[in-house]
Amino acid sequence: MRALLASVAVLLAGCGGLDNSVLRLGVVRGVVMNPTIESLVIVEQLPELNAKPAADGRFEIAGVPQGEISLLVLASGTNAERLTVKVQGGAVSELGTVSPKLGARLAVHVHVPSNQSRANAVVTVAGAVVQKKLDREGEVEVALPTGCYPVKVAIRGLGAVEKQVCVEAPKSREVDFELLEPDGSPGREGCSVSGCENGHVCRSSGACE
Amino acid sequence: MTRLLIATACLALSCAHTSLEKGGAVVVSLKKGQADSAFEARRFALVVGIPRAADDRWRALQFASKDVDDVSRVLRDPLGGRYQNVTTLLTEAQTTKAALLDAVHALAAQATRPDDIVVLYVSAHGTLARDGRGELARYLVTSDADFTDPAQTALSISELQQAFGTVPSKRRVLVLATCHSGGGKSLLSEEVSRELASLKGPVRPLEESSRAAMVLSASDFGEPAREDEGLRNDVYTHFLVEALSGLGDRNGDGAVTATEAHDWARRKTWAFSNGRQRPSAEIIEVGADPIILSGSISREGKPELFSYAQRLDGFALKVDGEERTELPGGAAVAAGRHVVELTKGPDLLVRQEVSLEVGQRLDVQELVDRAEPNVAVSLLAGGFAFIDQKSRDEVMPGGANVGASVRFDRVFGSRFALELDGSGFGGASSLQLGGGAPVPFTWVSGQGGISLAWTWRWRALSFWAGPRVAGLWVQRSFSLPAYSGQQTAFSMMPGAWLGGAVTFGSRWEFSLNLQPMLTVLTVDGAMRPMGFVGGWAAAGYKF
Repeated sequence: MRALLASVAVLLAGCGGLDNSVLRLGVVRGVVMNPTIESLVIVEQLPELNAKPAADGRFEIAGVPQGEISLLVLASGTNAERLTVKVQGGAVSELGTVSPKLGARLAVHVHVPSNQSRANAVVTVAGAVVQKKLDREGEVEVALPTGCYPVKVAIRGLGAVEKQVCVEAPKSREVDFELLEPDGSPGREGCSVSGCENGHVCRSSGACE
Repeated sequence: MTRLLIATACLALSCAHTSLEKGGAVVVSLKKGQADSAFEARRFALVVGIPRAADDRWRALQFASKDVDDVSRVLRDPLGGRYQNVTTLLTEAQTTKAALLDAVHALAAQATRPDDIVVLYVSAHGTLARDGRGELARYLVTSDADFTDPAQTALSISELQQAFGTVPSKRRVLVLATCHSGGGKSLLSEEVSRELASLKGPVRPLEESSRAAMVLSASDFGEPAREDEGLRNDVYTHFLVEALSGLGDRNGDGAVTATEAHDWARRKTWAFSNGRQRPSAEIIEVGADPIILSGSISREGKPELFSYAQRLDGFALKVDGEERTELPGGAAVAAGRHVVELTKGPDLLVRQEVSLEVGQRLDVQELVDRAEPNVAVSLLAGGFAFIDQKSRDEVMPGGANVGASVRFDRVFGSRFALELDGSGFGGASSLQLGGGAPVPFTWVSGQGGISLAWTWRWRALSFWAGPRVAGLWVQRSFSLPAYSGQQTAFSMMPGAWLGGAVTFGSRWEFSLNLQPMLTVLTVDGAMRPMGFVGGWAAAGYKF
């Protein structure tokens, strides 16, 4: 009986279709003042929607659901801004030129066990990957607007550590992330995947010597 | 002093034991003895007269007893009705509501063959009262009926018809020699009389439809049925008995059918009452009229022209320029070619030359149908919309449309019409997608449908209703800063077609149409069932 009803429905439904979902999406467009290579614009509620401004600072994020969103503009290592934007379906929300203020400085320290390599560490703030690489001390700095953010550090072979970090502009905050000794489980195979710091040798246990 | 009476007679009979079938559709060659023994139709009659009731506020009827005697005599007559089983009910005990219903149920237990002929005749007072649902209903004044509470104590005509409908026979005639107008053989309570007096015209009561094959009434609703001192009978009954004695055999085939008897009695009653009493008939089964009330078919009859169609009421049937009868009714003519006309005053509805053979029965309604234009081509203008607000907001708001249709009247029989239509239009509008600003777009839509409808016609008006299936094609175009593109969907829609038309002259018509439909469109990847309604006005020309 259910199959019959489904068949009738399919017959009646005919062909083609109407798609309103595309009409419920908008575009956010703007210009970041004095952009750097690390600049990033993130839709805070949907961090996979982000854009890296061009050299002249222009950015555009398409497919943003209509409604009120929070936009994080990480302009440089020191300046950041949070904007509230009302997005209209089918429309372009022009933000104009954005001049982020001095933000909070978040220093992320990544600690690895037994001389494991940190070269492939990925730092994610508010769901978006921070473009900047760790320095030799295993640190990366990000400027953020005041607020609390999920911060995650992941290294292939050593797993990941995530913390909720609150910052307040223009203060600085340093947070340590300690990745655990490899145990051979999937994702935590150790140096056979992550590699070792220069001068150290990877053992079969996954530890570096 | 109003005379009240109710009387009628029903007679039914088949000719299965004869070698001729009325209507002549099938000729079976059988030895007479075999046919008689195996197929002879049995004839049953229940003849009821209620001359007085226990409550003496119902005035006594003078001739109800004589009506019963006369009708039962002519039915029993070996040369007339030849009814083997005639039961008469006359006494107070036999004519209570319960006793009468018991007698009808007993009749149902006896007349179990489909070709049995069953007649139920009742001559009694009639009255009107509000039934349990507050509807005005006709009641038969049984001997135990209380004048102040007929709704509870008398027998409703509807209930009588339902009981009679349980008789298994397909050849049943219910004859009601009564009336309910408050005049003649009718008495009404003061309350109902006051109510009717306040109305400008007679109100026909709502009643359950009868399962009886034929209901003959001594008077139409709102007209009195009367007893007559000179005739010493209920007027209609007198002429019905006269018809059954053989005078009603219009086509001379040796048998008097129910319609022949009623036509005779109707015409005579009308003339006798100087037009004050017009007997009516509710005939569900006309065609070959298999209900023979008296005699048997002994030879092929003359060709007959007849019609009982309501729309032809009052038209004069003329044959070769000579008026033969007024419809409803019929007339027998000589075999051969004739010019048949239907006229009303100076208006000529139809004029056709027809060739009639011996034994043929021609419903003149067919001539009217043949003569009338059957194809209507119309231009349409109207609108459409999804029924629910959500679909109007999110799929497409209602819009206008224009188109054309072709309607073929009288397909699959005279009552059915087939219509093909196509329409379309376009426009600009906006969607309301919940929380966002209106989304502007342009649209184009097209519909093509086919409908089959049962049609009811009355004078220049016709109404129709029936199933419809249509295709709906929709295209939306968006040109937004963030999205540009076209979206197209097609769906089939089952539904209904309702409408009505008025014809001007015989060719032009104006109609109104409504089409409630169901459609399923794919919206956002999911199938969404939606109600859809279209309506249009149309101006058409009939060919």
